[in-house]
Amino acid sequence: MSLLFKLGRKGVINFIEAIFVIIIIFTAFAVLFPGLSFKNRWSDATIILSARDLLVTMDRLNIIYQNSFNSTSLQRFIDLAFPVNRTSLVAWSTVEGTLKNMTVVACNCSDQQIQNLTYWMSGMQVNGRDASMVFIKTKLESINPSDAVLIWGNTNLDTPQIMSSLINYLKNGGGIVEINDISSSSQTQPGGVQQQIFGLTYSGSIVPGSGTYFEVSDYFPRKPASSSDIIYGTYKYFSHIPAPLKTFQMSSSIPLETGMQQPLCLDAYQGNVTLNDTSHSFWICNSTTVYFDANNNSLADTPVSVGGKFSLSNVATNFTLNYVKYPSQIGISFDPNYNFQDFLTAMTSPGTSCADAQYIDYVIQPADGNMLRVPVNSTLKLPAVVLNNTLGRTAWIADFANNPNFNCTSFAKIGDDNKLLLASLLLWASNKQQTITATNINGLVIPYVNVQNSDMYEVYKLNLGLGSPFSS
Amino acid sequence: MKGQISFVEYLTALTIFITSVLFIAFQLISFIPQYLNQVNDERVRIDAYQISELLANDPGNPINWYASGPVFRIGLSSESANKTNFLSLQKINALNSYCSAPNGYDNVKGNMSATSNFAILLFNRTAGSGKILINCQPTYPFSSPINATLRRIVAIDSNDIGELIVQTG
Repeated sequence: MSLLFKLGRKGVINFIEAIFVIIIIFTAFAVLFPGLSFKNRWSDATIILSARDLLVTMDRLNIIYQNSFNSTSLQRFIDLAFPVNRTSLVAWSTVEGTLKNMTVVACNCSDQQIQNLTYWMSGMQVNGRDASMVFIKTKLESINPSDAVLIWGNTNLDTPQIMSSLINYLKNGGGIVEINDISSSSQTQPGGVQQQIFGLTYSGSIVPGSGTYFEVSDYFPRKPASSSDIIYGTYKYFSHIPAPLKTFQMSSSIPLETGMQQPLCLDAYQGNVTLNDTSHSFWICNSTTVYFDANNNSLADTPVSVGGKFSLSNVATNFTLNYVKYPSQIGISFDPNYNFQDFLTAMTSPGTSCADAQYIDYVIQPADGNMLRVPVNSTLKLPAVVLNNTLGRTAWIADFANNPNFNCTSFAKIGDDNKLLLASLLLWASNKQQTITATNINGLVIPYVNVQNSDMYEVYKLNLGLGSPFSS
Repeated sequence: MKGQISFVEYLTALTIFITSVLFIAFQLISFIPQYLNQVNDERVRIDAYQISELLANDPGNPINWYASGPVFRIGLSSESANKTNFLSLQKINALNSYCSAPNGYDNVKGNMSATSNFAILLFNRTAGSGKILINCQPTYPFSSPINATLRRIVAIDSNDIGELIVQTG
């Protein structure tokens, strides 16, 4: 203190300044030279490596396809690889780019239509896994959560609420399919919504020669040029997804053509495949062979094993038997050159009850269509299906239930070809991102592209996530 | 007297300078051992990864090293399938025998070109059996504690799931 007094006030100020400088310097050091620490991402690297190993190992053991769509079997595999008492890793997975196990379709249709749709599409399988559809009722102003919307019938869509609701639905990844006949009548011409969303344009009437109401043939007009071709999805699904055909009655034996040997079986189960207005019976008595009545004389004449091809009279194409689920169901797939003969018919005069307005008196654009209709002995070409992906995936299809041969709305006689075409449209339009196992845990996600090709060439991305519940 | 600094000012400046130098020197001195440890840890981790990759994804040299002749590199990948993460049970059994022989571990270490000591364990995880298929580790204690453990999940050509554990230190 005496020194400070000797130096006077000036020395005191310098001393205080020095203290400040020391504080400032050490603060600067603390900022400029923070405590040294080493960071590495070894734990992240090991998690990524584990996820990659899990995916590749599943592939090597040929269980990746099964585990991609079955959360129970995936978890069982992970539990084997990482016993739960030795790891805190939690796994989850999502699948992108392929059909869901269960596609939810919000249907703006009658109870009867929903009941029929549910029956037709139940049990659908592809590549040995479920690809079924569930139909729920919905209003169009407020669409229930779903993967696709089906509008069946002549519904007035031209309200601002419906327009807004449908556009939002498309923006969120869903798709819309409309089954409807359109005619020159002002009530049934394509309105604003159908023009904007489905790409339909009314372009005038065409009436075939008086009294000439031909049977027509519908078919895919071309093979898709590439996977980006708009018809690729529907073409592929229609010609590869097996149509699920159910049995409906049990019989003690199979009625066989003369000379054929009765197979050994306990009980036989009979079902029908309906194509081109004709029903062909089939019988199953085990999980390997189906007996078809190909010539339609109520006797089985064509035994077909799983994987085998067969043909039916009056149908100029081949079919493949994809699977047999004894005793309830079989799956058959159509060759791509299939011609629909009963998709729409015009057996009655315009204006008559049940007349097929779609055929008789109008043309909609785009006429190049995605499935063309060619009346026999005529050059008249009308689209039976129009796909559009301007705002999102939408499909319009003429009302195949409005068939005068079947009293207009006899659902029981609707062909299995028409049902399969509708299924292919719904599956093409539907949202295809699905969560197999969900979790809120942060972690690392490893993608893996897998391919499966038994019924249909299927390429999809499996995202496997691994994380620890205690990590940030 | 202007231009002259006082003794107190000189002392203060000198103290600040020395303190600063000491601070930086202390930081550097304490950093170097940590840095060297980290470098060593990285090296050990790299060894663990290298060994696991060789075992899981390399068929070895020669590819049928288990059959005959000198062994240059050991790998467990099935040479017939030639796929990643797909091991040959024949090679697994051969490695287990090879490592169990006198000086077996040292031979394996040489074949793996590993600089660290390691332990290789392979468990059959199918149906939760946990059967040990490979147990290859030195007969002498590790010179340094194990500080890297890597688990790899692999398929075995006997249609089994394997858990390959490589520890290095």
